[in-house]
Amino acid sequence: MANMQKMIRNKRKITSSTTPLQDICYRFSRNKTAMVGLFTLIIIVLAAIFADAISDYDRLAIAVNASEIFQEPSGKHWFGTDFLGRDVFARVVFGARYSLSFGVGCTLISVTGGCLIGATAAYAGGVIDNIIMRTLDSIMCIPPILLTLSLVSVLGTGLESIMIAISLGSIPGFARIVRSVVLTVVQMEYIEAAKAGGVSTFRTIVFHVLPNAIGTIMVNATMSIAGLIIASAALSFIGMGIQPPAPEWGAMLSESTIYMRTYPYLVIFPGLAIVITALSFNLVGDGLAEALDPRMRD
Amino acid sequence: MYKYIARRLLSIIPILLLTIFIVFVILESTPGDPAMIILGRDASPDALNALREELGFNKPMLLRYLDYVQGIFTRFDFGESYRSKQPVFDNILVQFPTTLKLAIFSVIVASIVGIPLGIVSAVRQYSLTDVALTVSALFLASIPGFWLSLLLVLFFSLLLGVLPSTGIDSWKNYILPVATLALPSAAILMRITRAQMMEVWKQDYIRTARAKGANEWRVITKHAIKNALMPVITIVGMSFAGLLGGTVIVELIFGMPGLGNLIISAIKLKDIPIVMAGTIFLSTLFMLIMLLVDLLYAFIDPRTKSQFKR
Repeated sequence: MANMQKMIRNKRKITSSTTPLQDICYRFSRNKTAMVGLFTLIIIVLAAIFADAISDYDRLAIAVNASEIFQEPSGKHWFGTDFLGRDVFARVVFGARYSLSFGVGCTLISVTGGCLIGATAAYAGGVIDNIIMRTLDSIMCIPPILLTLSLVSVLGTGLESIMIAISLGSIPGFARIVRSVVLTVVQMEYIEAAKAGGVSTFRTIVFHVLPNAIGTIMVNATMSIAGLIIASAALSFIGMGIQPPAPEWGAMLSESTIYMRTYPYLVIFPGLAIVITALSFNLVGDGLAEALDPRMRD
Repeated sequence: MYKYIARRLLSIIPILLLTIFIVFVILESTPGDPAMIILGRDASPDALNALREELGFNKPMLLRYLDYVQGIFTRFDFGESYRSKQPVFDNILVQFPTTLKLAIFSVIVASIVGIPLGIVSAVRQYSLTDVALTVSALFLASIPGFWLSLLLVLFFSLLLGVLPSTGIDSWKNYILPVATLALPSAAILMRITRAQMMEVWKQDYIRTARAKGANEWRVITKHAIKNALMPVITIVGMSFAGLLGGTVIVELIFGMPGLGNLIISAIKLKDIPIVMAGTIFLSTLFMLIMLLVDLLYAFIDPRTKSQFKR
């Protein structure tokens, strides 16, 4: 990928009119694997939004249909039907809603929390910085899955509770990244120039520090979505997340394990859905990282 | 150097206390009355009150935390299980070896697979091999562990019938769980080794070695690997520390009597002392391993080492 980019870059006429954003978009669009990821992702998002038009939630994804149990994949049921006669394709399509909201929702919570905490630590410095950082260190010592499980047992298995339980574990990581990015940016000469020019601290943070830190934060956020989607599916898989009748991919896998010897397709399709979604987020994240890398800039 | 080690050792004490505090506060807020869990639903109010008194549940949380910490540090007392009334620490010691074995085998397999592939990938940069390896590493990072283990069970246990899917009776039982845990770690190790090798590959001393007529093999083994693998050691240590706490789901799927399985069943039974002790135990191990990795790194890297001699 990257050597191809290099070749293309040499051929490309660089005009003075391109903005950094155009530059990043251009470099991203030349990255084939990243574009494949983005394309797949758009399809998944569209499927989640228009799930009702693609399939029927009440009739196919939820209703028990005793006459159609364990049908192999066919033209009528693309992914077959499960032990209650529910259409697996319909369930996978509606499941995208859960996974996307978990992935994006949890990332938003962790990034917001991480930005607030990290920026506070970096700007406050001294004792406050020390206390915040040691607390984050402590949280990071707790195995993420155990932290999530403990929080779920306190908060319950509602959608919001699960989201919070999963997000809390990844806040420290983001806070550390944001803190270190802010600390480096703050030392830059243009920040000194802004200060010397009499710009207020708030304005400095919002207009000068954050825009220069946003690239790193965005790359890390995109990369973390995949991990959080997997974490939420894992939680449902062990029965501590979204509960069974709901078409969540992890919960579907958990329900199907006892039938997998005879009907392996029941564990193949929901799993593939998780892998494809996670992989596309990872590909896009990878592409973003490459496109935003200042060393790749011409 | 000794001063550095002593300082690092002292610095983990507050973090350890804080970690215990966080776990304690979270789990103490779990809904449900411990006295009711122990005595059952139809216990008399007097008996419940007496038990609460005995267990200290009518004291403020901070005092209970101090008692708990004192118990841990003075006599390894993590409390008693609500269900079996056995000391929790004994329970942990019985179940821990399985988890430890899983983590050790996995980190060894991951290193044997991941590091050489990373080196190959970097040396053959942008070749077909490199692209294939990089893409498969990204693919492996996107596979949920629990699904990977289901696929492995499906293929090796149910379809071919060559490997057992549950239990810990023989070494064969460890193959599938270790494969599940090792593959994603191998992918991470590969990516990092590749990045490190590529960084080193650009250094002047590599060009010097080449200019002096060293052949490619010698450049890789004598000059590049030694420098590139330094940070990789940290990642191996981190993977090991992460694996110790990350075997939970794999233990559950493969029915292995490890710490993860113990904690999950305790969570479902609301047996809080076991959950608390297990989580604290694994967090402490994580902390100690990371400290050890740090110290080891300072010890083997001549650049860091020289800083402390001054």
